[in-house]
Amino acid sequence: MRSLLLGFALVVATAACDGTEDADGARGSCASGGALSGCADSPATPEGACWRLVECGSLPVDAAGDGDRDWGRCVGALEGLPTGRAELVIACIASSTCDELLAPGSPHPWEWPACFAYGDQ
Amino acid sequence: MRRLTYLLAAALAAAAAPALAQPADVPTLIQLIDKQPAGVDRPTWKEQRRDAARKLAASGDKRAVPTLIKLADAEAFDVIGEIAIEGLGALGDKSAVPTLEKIAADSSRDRQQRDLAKKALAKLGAPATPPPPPPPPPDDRPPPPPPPDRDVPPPDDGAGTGAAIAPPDGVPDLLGTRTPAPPATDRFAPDVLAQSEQLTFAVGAASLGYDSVRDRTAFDLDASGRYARWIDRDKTAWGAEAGARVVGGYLNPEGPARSRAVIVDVDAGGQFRAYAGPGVYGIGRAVIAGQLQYLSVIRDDPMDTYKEGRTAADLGVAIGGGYGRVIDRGPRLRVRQLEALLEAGRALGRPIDDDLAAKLQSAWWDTRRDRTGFRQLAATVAILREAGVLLGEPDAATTFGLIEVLRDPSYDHRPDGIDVSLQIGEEYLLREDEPAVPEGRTELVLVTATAARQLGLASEAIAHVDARYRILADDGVPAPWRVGADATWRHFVHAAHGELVGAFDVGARLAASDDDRDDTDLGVAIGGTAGWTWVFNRASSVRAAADVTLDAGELFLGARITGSYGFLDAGFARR
Repeated sequence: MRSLLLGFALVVATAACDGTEDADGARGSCASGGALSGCADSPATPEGACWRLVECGSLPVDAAGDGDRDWGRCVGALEGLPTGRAELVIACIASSTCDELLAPGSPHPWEWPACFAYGDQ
Repeated sequence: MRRLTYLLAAALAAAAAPALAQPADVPTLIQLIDKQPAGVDRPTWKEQRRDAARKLAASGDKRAVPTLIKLADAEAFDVIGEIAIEGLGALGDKSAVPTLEKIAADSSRDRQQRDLAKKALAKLGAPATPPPPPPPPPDDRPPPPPPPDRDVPPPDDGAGTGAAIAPPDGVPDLLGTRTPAPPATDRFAPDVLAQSEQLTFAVGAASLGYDSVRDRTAFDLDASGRYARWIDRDKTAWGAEAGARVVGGYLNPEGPARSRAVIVDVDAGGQFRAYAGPGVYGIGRAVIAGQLQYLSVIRDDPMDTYKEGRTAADLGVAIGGGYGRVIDRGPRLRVRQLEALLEAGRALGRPIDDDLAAKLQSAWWDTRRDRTGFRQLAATVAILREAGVLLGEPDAATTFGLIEVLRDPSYDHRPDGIDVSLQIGEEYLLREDEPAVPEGRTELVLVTATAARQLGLASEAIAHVDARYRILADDGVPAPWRVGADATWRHFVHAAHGELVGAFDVGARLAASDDDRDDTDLGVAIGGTAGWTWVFNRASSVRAAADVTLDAGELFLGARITGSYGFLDAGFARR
């Protein structure tokens, strides 16, 4: 399946955030356990890949600390990658199991998942 | 008064005309049959041809015989063929016997035409079945070469009756050629309620490039394939699917730095249901999945390299019970649309009942792997004509409508019904080379529910609920849970002549989850989407959608365009 995101995603409000705690977000159907739960394909876009990381419990929707890894920084990081590298990192996230997407410290990680290492030279 | 007298005389003259009719002008009638007169549109000419054929049949003139033979042989779909067959019997010319014998023995011809041919042969004093061919002369010539292979429909593959169905010699198609057609029988066993099959190949990305300025080579690939099959019977239901995905990349800039990545995913699964009583069933499922992931990153500093290979495997089984059944009614809706099309075109001789619908779907199933829809159309017309549903030869508008209905993807995947299940699952997860990831046995409870309703031919409403909860976890091991629900309403839009333009959909979703960890909160997300899908063929489309999601108090607005391309999509539904 081929997916392309042409649009945008915009954080409009942070009403539920008090600024001191991470907003973790809801998990997907395959966030824990194995293939029995089933998992839908994530769109092959920076936004879709980062939603998959949130649904897998790899990172929060919104981290309280400035610079902490969360959905917004994930999108920014993927969008900043050169073409070729970004596509492969996104495909890696889409095809990995949720537990393989966990990074050190997840769900409040201090590193990106291993898929981000591709092309990091 | 004088004018009234003239009118009365004219009326009497008109009434007496048949008694005073002149002998048929056979050459003129033949010419009218052979060539469409200038200034006469095609439907009018068709009527004139039929009328001319009737006059030739009643003429008693032997000069009409060759023309009637030609009509009887070629016009398999128009009533003019039947007029010609009857006429050949009435004219009493023995030269028509071979043609009539051929028609009488052709199982692909309309039954009425075959019966008329037998009657005509009886009038000519010939048997309905031709005598056996004489034995070959005893010479030394080599035997003639066998006929070229024909694209014979595949044999019954497990879901059908298993009866050996001999394909007919051929169906005269709309262009006058003879193409092997699927049998006009119900190939599905009586207890088969629905059946479907899908095969999809997808390439998410594939590129190979060389940057001469930076001396940089880059290659990446994301390709996948999936096959799925499902059969619903009265007392059982089963399905299986398997898929594979390959992601690969190579990045080689100038210098010692280099990156390579390969990810291979394979998975397969099956499900079996045994129904006991009205809607109550027991269910068993099994899934197996494996992944190989290799990532190598060599940086400019040779000491700072990253190489990692991971393997993962999942084996899961689940048993449980449930109630109800969701069936893909799409193929049956396609038949209903076909009926509506013929009715609108005043070409519907009688309604299409379940038996005939099953015959049509059998033919469609047998031709589902064809590259073009030609045999499907030819078989559909033949079956409808044979059953007396399609009156006469379809005109251009009806033929176009038939083609559009047959390839309309809005009649694929139209679920209908209610299904609720509760399953207890046992999984074994193997995560070698990844000590940070939990592996071993996991037990969980799974709940799924689907309610789907087809709202006529062009709209549907579908809702899903799914829930999972880990059970029997060791002390100190989190027992996460999740509940999700979504609902979608979709409306398909067709143009004036039945061609599918696209579909509009509106959906809503809700999810709640808890990781059962001290450092995370209850997660709640709600969202909605509205989209429009342009459809290109039975398995390919492009969708533009707007999304709104409120997750953990964050509001996200988004828009996306998604495209997909497929190769095969087929199904069957008895009711």
